[in-house]
Amino acid sequence: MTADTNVISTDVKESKKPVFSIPDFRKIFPVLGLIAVIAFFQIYTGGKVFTVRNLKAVINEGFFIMIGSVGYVFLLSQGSMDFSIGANMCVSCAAAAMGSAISPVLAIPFGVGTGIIIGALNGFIHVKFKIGALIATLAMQFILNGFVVILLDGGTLQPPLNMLKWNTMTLKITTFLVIVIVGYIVFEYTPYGKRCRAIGSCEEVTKQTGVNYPLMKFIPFVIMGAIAGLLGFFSLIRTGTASSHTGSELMMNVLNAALLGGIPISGGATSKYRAVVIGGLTMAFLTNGMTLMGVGNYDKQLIRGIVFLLAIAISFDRKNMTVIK
Amino acid sequence: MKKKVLATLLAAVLALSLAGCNSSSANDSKVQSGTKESETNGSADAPGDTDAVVETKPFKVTTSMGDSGTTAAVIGANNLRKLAEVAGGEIIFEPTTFSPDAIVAFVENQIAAGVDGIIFIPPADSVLPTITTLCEEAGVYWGIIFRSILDDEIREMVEASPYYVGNCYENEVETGYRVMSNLNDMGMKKVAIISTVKGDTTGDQREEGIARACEEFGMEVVAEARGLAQASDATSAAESFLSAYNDLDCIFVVGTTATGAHEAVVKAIQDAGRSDTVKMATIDFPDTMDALFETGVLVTSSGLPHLFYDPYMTAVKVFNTVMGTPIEDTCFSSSITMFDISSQEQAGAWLKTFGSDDALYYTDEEIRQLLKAYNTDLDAEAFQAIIDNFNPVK
Repeated sequence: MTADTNVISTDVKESKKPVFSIPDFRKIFPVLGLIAVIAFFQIYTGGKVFTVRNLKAVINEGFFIMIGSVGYVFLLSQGSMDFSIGANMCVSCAAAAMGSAISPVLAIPFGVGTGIIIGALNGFIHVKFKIGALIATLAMQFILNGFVVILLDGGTLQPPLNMLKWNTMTLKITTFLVIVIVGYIVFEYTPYGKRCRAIGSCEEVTKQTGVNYPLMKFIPFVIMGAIAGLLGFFSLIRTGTASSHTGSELMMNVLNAALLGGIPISGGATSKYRAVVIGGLTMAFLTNGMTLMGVGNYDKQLIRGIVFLLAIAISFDRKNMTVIK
Repeated sequence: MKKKVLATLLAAVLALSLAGCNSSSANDSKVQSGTKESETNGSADAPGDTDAVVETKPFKVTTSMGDSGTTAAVIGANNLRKLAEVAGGEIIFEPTTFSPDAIVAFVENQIAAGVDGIIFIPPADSVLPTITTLCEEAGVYWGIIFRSILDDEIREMVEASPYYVGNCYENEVETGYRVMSNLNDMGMKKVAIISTVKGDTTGDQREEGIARACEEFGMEVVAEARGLAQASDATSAAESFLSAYNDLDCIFVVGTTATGAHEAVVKAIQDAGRSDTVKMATIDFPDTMDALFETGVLVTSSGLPHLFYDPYMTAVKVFNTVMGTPIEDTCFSSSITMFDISSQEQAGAWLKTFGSDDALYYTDEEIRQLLKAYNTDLDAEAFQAIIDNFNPVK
C-alpha cells in the first residue's frame, strides 16, 4: 500500500485518438470547399476569377445569397425550413414597385413590410396550427406564385428610372455588412440565438426550460420574411423590373449556401453563423466560375443539384433523424 | 496534426492559384484571325475578290439564345457560327432563363468573362436601362433580338448609348392583324390565344394588331393563356379552351418560347375530335409546319424568312462594331418583313430551303458583303436592301 494516495496508477491504456475523424471533416469541409472552388476556377480560367470586373459580378451574385442566408441560419438552426422565400421576394418586389409608383422612398417599406407580413403568416400557420414548416411554406410558395401573377396582371412593373441609380456597390456592401454583423451578434451572443440552436438540438428539453417556445419558433419566419422583402427591393433596383419570375432561384441558392457553409440540415448546436459567409461565397464563386468556363445554364443546374446532395450527405446529422420540424 | 494537414493544403492551393494567375488565358489563342491580306472588297454589288481575307482582331460575342432543341435553333446557331468564322471571331451560346433577373445576371457574368459583344432577348423594356449602364461601364457592345423598345423614355436612353448597336424588328402589329384577317376570311370569329406574358413587347404588339382586327371584323378573343414554359402547358391550355368553348373556331399561337407547343395544340384538338371545327393559326413558323398543315388543323402561319434571321442580322451589326468597322456611327433599327404560308405546298417550298440543320442563309462571299471590313460601301440603307432581298420562297 502506497503512502501517497494522491498517486494513482492505472493500467488503462491510453486510447488512441484518430488523427482525423468524420466530425472533424464536417467542421473543415466548408472552408476546404470554398478554397477548392476558388482555386479550381482561378487555375482553370487562367486567372480570370480575381479581376476587378469579375469580383463585382461575384459580389452581385453573392449579395442575394449571403443576405438570404442570414435569415435562413435562424430557421435551419431550429431544424425548420422556408420554401417560400423566393416567392416572398417576388411578391415583395412587386409591392416595392407599387410603392415606388407613389413615391420612390416608399419602395423599401412596401417591400420589407410585405415580406414581414408573409413571413409572419408562415410562422403563424406553422406555430398556431402545428403544420410542419415544410408543408406550410411549400403551400405558401404556390399561393404566392399565383398571387403575384394576378397582382402583376400577367405582366411586369417597373419603378421610376431614377431609382435604378440606387443600385450602387456602396449601398450593397453597406447593407451587407450591417445585416451580416447584426445577424452575427444576435445569433452568437444573444439568448435568442442560443435558444434557436437549443430547439434544433432537442425541442422537448427546450420546451421544458420555460422559454416562450411558440414565440421562439415564430420569430425566424418573420426575420426571413423581412430579409426576403429587402431582397425584393434590391432586385427591383437591380433589374428595373418586378416580374413573376423574380426570386425563382433564391430558395435553392440560399439553402445550398447554408448547407455548404456547414449548417446541418437538422439544425442544432453545431449550427455556426460563419456558414453565411463561407457558404454564400462558395455558391457565388461556383456560379461565377461555371459561367467563366462557359458551362451552360442547364448544366449549372445539374452541378448545383449534385453539390446540394453532397452538402446534405456530409452535413446531415444521422443521430438526429428528424430532419425538418 | 490536423492543423499541419490543413496548413499544407492551404499552402498548396495558394501556390496553385498563383500559378493560375500567371498562366495565359487559353481563350486568347482560341480564335485565329484571317491570314494577312492586302485588299478589301470595296463594292456591295461586286461578288469578286472571293479569296480576299482581311486581317481582323479576334473577338467574342455571346448570346442568350440556345443552339439546340429545334431545327430552327440549330440552323440559326450554325449560321451564326459561320458568320463568326468568316468575320474572324467566336460566338458563344449561353441559353438563359427568360426572366429579368436571369438576363441581368447573364449580362453581368458575360461582361466578367471578357466578351466583346452581347446579343439577347430582353424580357421587358424595363431591364434595358440597367443593361445599358452595365455595358457602358464595361465598354461592351450590345444589340437586342426579336424585340423592339416600346417605352419612349427607355428607348431614348438606350439609343443614346454609344455601345448599343441597334436591333432588327418585324411589324408585329401588322402581322397580328393580318393573321386575324386571314382567319376572318375563313369565316372564323371566336379565337383563343396563346401568347407571351404581358409586358413582352413582341406579344403586346401582336395583340394590338389582333385587337384592331377584332374591332374591325367583329371577332372575339374568348380566352388566353400566357407565358407557357413547356409543351404540356400548351396541351393543358388547349384542352381548357376546348372544354370551355364549344363554339371555338381557332386557337391562335401568337407567341411562345415553349418547344413543341404547336404540335401539342394540334394533338389536343385532334384528341378532342374537333379537327374539323377548330383550327390553329401561328406567328413564327413551327419546325413541323409541313406535317401540321397536312393534318388540316393548321390553316395559316406568318413568320420571318427564317425564325433566327432576326438575331443573325443583329449579330452582323454587333460583329461589324466589335471588329472596329461599324456599319453606321450610331445605332439603327432594321425591319424584316414577315410573310404568310397558308398551304402544305407553300410550307413544303419553305421547308425545301430550311428543312435540314445544314441550311445556310448566305455563302461565305455573301457574308463578306455583310462585313464592312470587306464591303466598305455597306451602310444602313444597303444593309436594309440585303434584308429585303432575302426570301427563301421566291
